[in-house]
Amino acid sequence: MTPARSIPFSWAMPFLTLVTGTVAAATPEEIVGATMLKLAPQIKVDVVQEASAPGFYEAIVGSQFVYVSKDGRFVFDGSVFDASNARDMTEVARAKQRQATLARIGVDKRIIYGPAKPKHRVIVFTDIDCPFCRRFHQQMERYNELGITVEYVFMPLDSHPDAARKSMAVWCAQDRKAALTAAMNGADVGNDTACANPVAETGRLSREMGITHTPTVLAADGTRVSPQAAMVPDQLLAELDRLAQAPVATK
Amino acid sequence: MSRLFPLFLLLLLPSAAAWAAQADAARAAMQKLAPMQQLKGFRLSALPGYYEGIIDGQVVYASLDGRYLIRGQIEDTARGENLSEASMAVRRLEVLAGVSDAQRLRYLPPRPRHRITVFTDVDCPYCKRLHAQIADYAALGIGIDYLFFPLAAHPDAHRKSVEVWCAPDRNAAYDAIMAGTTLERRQCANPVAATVAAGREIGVAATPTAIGPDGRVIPSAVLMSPHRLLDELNRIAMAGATAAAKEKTP
Repeated sequence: MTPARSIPFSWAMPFLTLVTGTVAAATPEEIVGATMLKLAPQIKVDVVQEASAPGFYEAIVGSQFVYVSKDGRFVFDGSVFDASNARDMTEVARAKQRQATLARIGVDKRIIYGPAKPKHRVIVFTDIDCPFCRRFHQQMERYNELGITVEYVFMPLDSHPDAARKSMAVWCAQDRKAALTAAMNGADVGNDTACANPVAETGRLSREMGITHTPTVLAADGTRVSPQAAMVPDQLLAELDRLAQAPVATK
Repeated sequence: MSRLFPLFLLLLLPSAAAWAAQADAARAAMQKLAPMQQLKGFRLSALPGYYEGIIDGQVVYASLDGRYLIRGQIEDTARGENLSEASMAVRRLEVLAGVSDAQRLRYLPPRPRHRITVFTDVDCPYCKRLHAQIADYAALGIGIDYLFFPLAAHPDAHRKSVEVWCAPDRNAAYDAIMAGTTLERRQCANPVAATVAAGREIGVAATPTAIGPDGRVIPSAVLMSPHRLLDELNRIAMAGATAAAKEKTP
């Protein structure tokens, strides 16, 4: 299933003209552009693609998603759900959009806690001084027991002035995993931040993806898991099982 | 004719059945969003290719085959109108039509020109401020029908609403309680549960929430200013008259 596929222009154009009559040879970009110009002249549309909702284009503006009907008349900025599998298709489109950026945060830029027999993988954007991040980390054994690999990406928040230093100190430690666990338990990890580390880069890339909170938990395909589900190991497993039934296609 | 009739029926049946099956799928998809709530206002939408319905105080749209659901406010850029809000307005008027005058606490001016419905909570500061101006609204010909909508945040508001309702002179009791007086404890049959249910059904979440004669929620800044409210109600009345005249001309 590829719900957010790009449009084959060659056949879409004559078809559109046939259906709407009035829109002569306008590309999807032109249709969406003309409509957005009426609503918010200053914004720049980055991508226009076929939406899963029939009759609509999906326009991406920064990290925002806007839907415009194919005749350019109707607009909404809410979500599209696929009732057949209870998936939020707007979130699926967001996940696809994230994949490229996520690929730039390689495993060499993550701290990975993996079980012997991994079943699922999550990417967790974390901040050492965020209380829910600590609570999440305390349950690591249980996540691993359930077959969930946790791949941490550092995203120190501006509201925690020491978090960046602590993240770098963890990265520079001999045993990163042990150092991170110690830091999450409140231990002093010192000031040795002199090594090459990805903290600034991962923080920037996270924000580029529109991630603003920690912990943010993404399934391996880039789908965001609700924080409520992510904080309870058994619920996270159930959610990952559900998402695995209809994974977001890789671009 | 009598021999042709069954033939007609045969021609009609398949499409009617297909329509019903589609509609059922769309209905079921919407219902899944809030299984415990009643789906209302289900119909083909002005948004081409979609059904619409109201559930949990919100308009939702389903593709004709019932597979895709849209949650969000649909803007019709050709008419400069919010379709979802227009549908909610129709629904609000339907629900308010189901609340009888006997369930309302009415403040009628001597020469009424306009009438609005206000969901009120006796412990909400803005509701008190609004009521402090009741004479100003009356002077401008604006009648206010209050519907009790005690909020969960105000634990005594429900009891106090019942005390107002059960007083020998309801309007005097409401004036008194909104001015800070404590009322005598009373109980009697009252419409509070019914007005709360009506409010919830149309998405009322705060007080005061005022609904105009066109079914729209009146912005609070407009509501709180008697003169601005009068301007707005005059505008609504004009727009309604124009629309009615348009419908009459062939």
